[in-house]
Amino acid sequence: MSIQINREVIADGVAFSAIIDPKIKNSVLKIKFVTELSEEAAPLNSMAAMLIGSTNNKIKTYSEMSDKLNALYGSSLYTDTSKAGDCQIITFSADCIHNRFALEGEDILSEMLDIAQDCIFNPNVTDGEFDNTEFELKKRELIESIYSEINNKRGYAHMQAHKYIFRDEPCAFSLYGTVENAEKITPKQVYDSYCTLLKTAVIEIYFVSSEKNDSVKERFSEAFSVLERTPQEPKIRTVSPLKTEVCNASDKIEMKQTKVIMAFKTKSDNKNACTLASRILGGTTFSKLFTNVREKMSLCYYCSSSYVYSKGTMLVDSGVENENTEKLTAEVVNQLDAVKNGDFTDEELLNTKLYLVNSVRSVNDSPSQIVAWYFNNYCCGEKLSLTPDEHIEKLMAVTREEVTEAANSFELDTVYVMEALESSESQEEDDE
Amino acid sequence: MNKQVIKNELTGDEYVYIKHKSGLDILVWEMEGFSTTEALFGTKYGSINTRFRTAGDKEYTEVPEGIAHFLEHKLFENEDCDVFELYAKTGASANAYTSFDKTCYLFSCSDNYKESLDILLSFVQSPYFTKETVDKEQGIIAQEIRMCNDNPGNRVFYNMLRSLYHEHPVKIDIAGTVESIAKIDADLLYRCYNTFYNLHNMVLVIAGNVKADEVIEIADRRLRECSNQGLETSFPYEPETIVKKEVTERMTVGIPLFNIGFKSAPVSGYEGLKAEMETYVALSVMSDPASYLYRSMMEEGLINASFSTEVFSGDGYFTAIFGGESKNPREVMNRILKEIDRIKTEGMDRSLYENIKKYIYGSSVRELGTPESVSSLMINSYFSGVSPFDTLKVLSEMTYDDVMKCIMERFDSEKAALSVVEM
Repeated sequence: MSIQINREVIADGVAFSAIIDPKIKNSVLKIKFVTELSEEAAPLNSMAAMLIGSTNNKIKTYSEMSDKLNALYGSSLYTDTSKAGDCQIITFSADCIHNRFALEGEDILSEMLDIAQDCIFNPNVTDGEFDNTEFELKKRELIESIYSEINNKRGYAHMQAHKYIFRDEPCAFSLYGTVENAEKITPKQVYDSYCTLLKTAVIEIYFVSSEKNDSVKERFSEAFSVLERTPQEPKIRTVSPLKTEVCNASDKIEMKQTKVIMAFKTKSDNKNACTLASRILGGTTFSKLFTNVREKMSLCYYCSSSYVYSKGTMLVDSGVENENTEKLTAEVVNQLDAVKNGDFTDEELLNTKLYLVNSVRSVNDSPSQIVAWYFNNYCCGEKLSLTPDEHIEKLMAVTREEVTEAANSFELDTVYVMEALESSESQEEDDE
Repeated sequence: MNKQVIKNELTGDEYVYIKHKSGLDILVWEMEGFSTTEALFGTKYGSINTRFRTAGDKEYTEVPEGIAHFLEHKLFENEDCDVFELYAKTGASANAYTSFDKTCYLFSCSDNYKESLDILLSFVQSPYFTKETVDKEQGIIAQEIRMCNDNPGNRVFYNMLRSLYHEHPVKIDIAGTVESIAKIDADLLYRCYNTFYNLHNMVLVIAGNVKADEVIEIADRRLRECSNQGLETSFPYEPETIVKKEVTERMTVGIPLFNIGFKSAPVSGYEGLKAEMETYVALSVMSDPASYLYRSMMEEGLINASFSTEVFSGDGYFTAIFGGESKNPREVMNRILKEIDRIKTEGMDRSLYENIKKYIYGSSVRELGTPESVSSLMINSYFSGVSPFDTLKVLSEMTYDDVMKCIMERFDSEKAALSVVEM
């Protein structure tokens, strides 16, 4: 039961990948719009994503849409926006169970595809602007999302840290913008922005199902053939420049635990060696940071590192007692020095590779992971058809010299501390 | 040893149930074409089990809050090495979690599953606790507790439980408090380990790229036969009433968070699953974006997309929960109570009810789709005393009147509490 993949260009800057996986019980459609991240357009694109993911010109309210999707056995329709390097990615997803599970013989897939197609090509628009009622609902949702960013302290610390780490680079911009800006957005602006996206974004479409179905590709070929396209190939990988002096930044927030984020930057192009160096440092439960900072020093519950290839940056992330902040940052630097000095065994290197191989091999077990894999190839500038097995071969071939060389290329750029300020008053109140 | 194949005609899925001679129940779900193997070795021991005795004891033993979770952390340390170092050689990704009513040790891998299973079965059966290793863990768990205390979603949930439950230990944090874990020592850990980590109180489930016969072979080699020691857990008497109607906590949040809980009678086994699913359908009929309540509150700006519902139930507790963010949580509570009254007199929207059932059927089919979701379904069903296929059975037998009866019985405004976290 092997997986087959066939990627075809169906319009200017639009590719359709048909992925057949006989073992799956559902069908998944993902449409990824890739565009440059700009401070002005990002919130408009995010709003457009929210609108096309909830209604279309035939199903005009989210209530009707939800009822329809429930009737289609819990088919789902959703959009999200994310960053990849200095680009914004808008992903439209639709998912339904296979027709063979329908209890009343419904053609679930066709109905779901009709809805999805209308969401993309026939959105909920009147007189050149998104429907006002739905627009106002989504605008409030956008504003409340911005307000509630602070509810997730770890995520919020990352957002604040990125402003310093990637100063003056597009990826430091928020995908939602500010409340002040969101208040001014109009339905016309958002529709214009969506039209620009349809015209200029590079679009990767993926359809994963258990059997061959050419009609899906034909639907999208036809729909795109009538659009005038002038795609602008965005540059996803833009290595973040190292600051001339280490940036030490901090904020104070009323909370219990201090959050620390450190950024190390590299100019190295050796993706696999940099990934391994970062993993040996803090990307597994047997890594240097886990065994030393957590297990031996008992400083924290989590302390891990991750390597962002698109920005040539390694991020170390932890939560500690306020008074332990310096102890933690000093130890992270020590542990990175150990990796730089080649102070890791051949077994540690092999085990780290095995850990990565394990997760790469599991890619084929879920439609969304398969899509994420092939889209990541696109984002990293890899050969688009690079399979998990081919990648494993490359990863296993990385030498310890390459890993120490990669580790040595990382230099400290930013230390961001979100300092916990304990509140003095008693916090719980009974309002009976 | 007893081995049975359990089949589901509707979806064509099946798994093997093995009653192993050691006393352990083993469930294996072979999934053709998958690369991943997901294994969970669990004990029916969670944060609520703070009071227990075995056949030889006259008195119940009471232990500090958070000890099940502490024990989970400490089991990862063997006498001679850290368990993660052993897994490192196989490439498996290993972890563990403690919930209110169970502790599970798991691994996920795409190669060498037999070696990883060997490690899993061995380390969970080899406790090693000393004063030094226990002291060291206090700092790590204290940081975990502080991290959770900064999470407003966590706070709003526990505050709601404390407003609903007078005595039942479901109201305590799974990890305990910095003060309660300071009372834990090696002797107490051994006492809890020897009581709850008896194979008769445990289960092993494996799904994905696996062969039942190979699992049995490893189990035969690794599992030490043990006798059933007649474990009894006990909970203090819990009145039907709630503690208080409203609680507010102040912390750094952008928009206030709320949880609204309806306390009702706990049920177990197949009847428990029926009650859970009826309540889930009831909550969905009230809160789905297609419902009147959702639509009207959304249009008035009372809720946002974070509005959601949950059925939270287990040994001695049952709560239907509405949660989300709102600038006016008290008004959300009023609206929900009004809508419940309306449904109690006028009935549910029938078409919405039918579509919600289809939605749940689709979700149940999807749940059978990946080794990860299948293994988690198997262990949850096992500890609830039902089969993984019972969800589909309950759904096919459920009637409109069953759900109406559930709304009448389980959504009592006198047993509802509002918990709010705001600035």
